[in-house]
Amino acid sequence: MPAIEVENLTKRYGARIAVDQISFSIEDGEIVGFLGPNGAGKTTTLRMLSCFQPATSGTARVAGYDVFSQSIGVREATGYLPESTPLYSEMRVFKYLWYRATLKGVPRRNRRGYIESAMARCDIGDVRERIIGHLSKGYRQRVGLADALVHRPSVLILDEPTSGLDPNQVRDVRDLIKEIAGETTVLFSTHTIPWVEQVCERVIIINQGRIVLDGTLSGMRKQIEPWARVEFRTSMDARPAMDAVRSVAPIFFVENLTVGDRTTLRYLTEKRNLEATRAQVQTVLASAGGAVENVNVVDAVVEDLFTKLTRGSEQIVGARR
Amino acid sequence: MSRLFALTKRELSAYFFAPVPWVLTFFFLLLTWYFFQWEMSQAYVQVTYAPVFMALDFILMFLVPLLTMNSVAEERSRNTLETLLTAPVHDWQVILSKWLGTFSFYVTMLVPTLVYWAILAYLGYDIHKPDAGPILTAYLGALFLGGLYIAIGIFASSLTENALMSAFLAFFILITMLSIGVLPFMRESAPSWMRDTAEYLSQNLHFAEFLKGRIDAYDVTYFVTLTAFFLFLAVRSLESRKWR
Repeated sequence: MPAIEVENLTKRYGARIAVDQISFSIEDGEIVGFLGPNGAGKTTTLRMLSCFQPATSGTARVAGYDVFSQSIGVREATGYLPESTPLYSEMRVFKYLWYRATLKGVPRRNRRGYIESAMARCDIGDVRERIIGHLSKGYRQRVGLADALVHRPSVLILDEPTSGLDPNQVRDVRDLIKEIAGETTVLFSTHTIPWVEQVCERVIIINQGRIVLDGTLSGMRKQIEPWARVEFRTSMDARPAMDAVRSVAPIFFVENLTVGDRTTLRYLTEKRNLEATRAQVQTVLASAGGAVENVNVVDAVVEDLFTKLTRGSEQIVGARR
Repeated sequence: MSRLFALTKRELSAYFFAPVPWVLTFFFLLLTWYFFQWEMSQAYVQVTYAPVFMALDFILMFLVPLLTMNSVAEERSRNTLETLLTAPVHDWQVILSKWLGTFSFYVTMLVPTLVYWAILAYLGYDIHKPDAGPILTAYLGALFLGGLYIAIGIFASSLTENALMSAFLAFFILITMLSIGVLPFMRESAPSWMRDTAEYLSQNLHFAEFLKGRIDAYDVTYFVTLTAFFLFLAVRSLESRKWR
């Protein structure tokens, strides 16, 4: 039985469709990165799975329970970390976790042990008696994680677990997720691909409320093999140069990498038409009064696929597992 | 049960460790003391301190909205509502715990006023002893009245994430209820059914019965059902997040 099973899940806010008939399924013990730009519907989806908001239509089952009709069962089996890591800032860390463990139905005789192991996992033992409001962002995030873990749920749903953390803390969260892999199913949302590459294999990308990719990183790597990144400098201003480059048909997207006063652009295109495309770029820029300099061609990276899927108009459903 | 207890405990400790409830307690005692000393300064013989209680529905009308304004609104504005409602607790448990926690704090506010009883006994010893009956029923009435006000305050708090807005809303509901009981008297032309309904809905006449030393099932029913009704509305208002 899958740990999370979503079928045609839809959420409408009035006329606006936040999540549009998405379906996916996550096996027991799997770790899945849920990606998408801001406003793509990630938080809404996770809120529906954690029973905070009901779906407009469609069904979802978490740990075998229906999120609508068996919501208490879902909530008992799930650990959920909301996006902003809301905490009671006036409480002390241990007291807070004690309160949360009680709410989540951890029997009294196990409570202390469960809390101690959650605190050890999240490395917050040294702040156990501190007031939450006085803690740094990194510690607060880890208190939130410890709260999500404290009742030893079979499914963990983490909404942007690394937002606002410094690189060291991001690494800690990564190690934590890897550590609980296997025993727990983890679905986490993020908008940074490189981070996902370090944590898990399976990725679901959502854009404008729809799933645009559900696959593996190796599948994505295969998909980007025929693509190339072309980086170049030009004497033109960034904006007109980008508009000019965009008009070249085989280009997926253009990014502005300018640092300082020299315009640097990067575009993604297919390797097989590379020479023709480069020639075209040269032509359009020349007619706009600019020149192409310092050209550098490299292989595309997974992030390019993400950018292409979430920014470009063309949608690819593929990279099947 | 342990969940409801844990929720209530957190609610109560939030009151104990915040400054505002204590400032309100201070003003509460100051105001009741004012009415008590006014009563004591009168020339007639006193065996109760009824004016303190007669002022109570008015004092609480200002204090309770300020006490309850944060209860749900703050959870909303701090987003802790999301962690709270994704824990395996029912919405009614959340609301009931907020009521129980606030009510417990209200009882703590009320306890120091028992000093007035002691003062009364000391001042009037062996001439005229305090009359325990009406004092006790007045306290019982005060509990019912406070319980109702708190339920209204929590309901108002559940509607918004702005604490001041919720306080204003609760105050508005309370003053409306109080005034509908008064207004028809000014207009004797109102049909009797309208006057009866208005009088029934208004809290002060029911409360006044307790001050006379009477515990009438009619008045108890009024407070219990109306308190339950506003708590029910608060639960529905929490649930309404689901239909937006």
